[in-house]
Amino acid sequence: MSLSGGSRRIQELVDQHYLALYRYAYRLSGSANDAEDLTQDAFCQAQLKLSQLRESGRAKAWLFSILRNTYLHRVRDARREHTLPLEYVGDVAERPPEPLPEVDPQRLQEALNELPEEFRTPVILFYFEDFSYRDIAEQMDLPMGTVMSRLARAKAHLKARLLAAPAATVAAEGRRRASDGL
Amino acid sequence: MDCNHARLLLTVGHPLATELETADKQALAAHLADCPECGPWAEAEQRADEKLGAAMRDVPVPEGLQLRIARRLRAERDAWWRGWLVRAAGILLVVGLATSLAYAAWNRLKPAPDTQQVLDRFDKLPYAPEQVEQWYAARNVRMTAPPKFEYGYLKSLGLADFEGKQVPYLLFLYPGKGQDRPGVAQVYVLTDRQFNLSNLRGVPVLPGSQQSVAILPHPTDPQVVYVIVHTAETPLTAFYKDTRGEI
Repeated sequence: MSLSGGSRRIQELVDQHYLALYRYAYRLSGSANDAEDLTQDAFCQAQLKLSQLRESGRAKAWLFSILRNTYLHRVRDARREHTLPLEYVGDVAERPPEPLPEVDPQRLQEALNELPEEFRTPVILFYFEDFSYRDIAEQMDLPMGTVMSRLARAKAHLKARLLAAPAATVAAEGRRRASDGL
Repeated sequence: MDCNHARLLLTVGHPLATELETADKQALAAHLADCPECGPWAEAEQRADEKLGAAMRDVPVPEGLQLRIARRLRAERDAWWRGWLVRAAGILLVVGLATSLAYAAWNRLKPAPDTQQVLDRFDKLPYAPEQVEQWYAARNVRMTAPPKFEYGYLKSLGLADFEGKQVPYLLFLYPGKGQDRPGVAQVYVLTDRQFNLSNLRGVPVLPGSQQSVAILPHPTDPQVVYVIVHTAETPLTAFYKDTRGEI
């Protein structure tokens, strides 16, 4: 651990990235409390590993990667991720209706929570618009093709849950309830 | 480009995507402009993505979060320094303890001064050359004592440094007689085992203002030479048993 001279640098990182990091944490965890804990933990980890950050241009991706690892550790420890089985995550987006319905924030988070983390992370990073496919693939340590495939399925799931015409929504809802044993 | 290919390419239509070749981008744009199915489909997809993206990024951030993060980081730093200090203090304590123990053990191994031996050494000095030689032999030092000296004048003996080597050393004290004042002679016993003695032979007395140096070969043993430092005003013969004799 190297703290001498690092306090100013970590504070700069906080100033520049805490908003994005909190939003990412919120979308990953689905809870404001967890998101704040995750954000703080991620910055604490970053403070300990600051010497590993060589390119300041990669700081945001580095912080996001730390936060995701922190989240995965927590989930693993708590064994509390309840998500849809993969076969219920769609892979073909149906054409959205016109006009598009408003996206309810509560339902957006519910739809995200239904996705396994390996689908949730790429779709969050995709919609944050700050990361290319290559960035996402590097953060998740996956081939780009895998990221694109998961992203397509995750997007299809979100669109089906949030933007589909009422009949399609009912069908998707039915599939979800069936998978939950309801 | 057909519709299936176009839909496939659209799945990688990420705003930051650099994965599409320029030719593919141009062909896709041309297809979307012409195709009555794919063009509107792509636009609807884009609008849906924009809507979902905006909703995804719309996360209210709690007030004071930045301050709380800074406070937590400071607390972690303080805890780190405290831990570091405790570890450093622990290491110092262990090192100090080990050093003390080692010093105590080493101290216990050192011999204690034996004052009785000191008294014996100086109070019971040898009074003849043979006894002096025995005294050294008892300490595993081979030496030949100067034969003509008055050993009643001997006040000390032992080993002394002579130009970087330890050699037998005798200290004689002439008490003075009549007009003669007291004098001191320090005798260094050199042998050809330790020194090249050839250039000392024939060297006369080297007179000094306070001390003089005399070089005296042993009368019978050519391997031994005595270097005698004595008070300049006391003739060397004053230290002999028979002041008229020669060693």
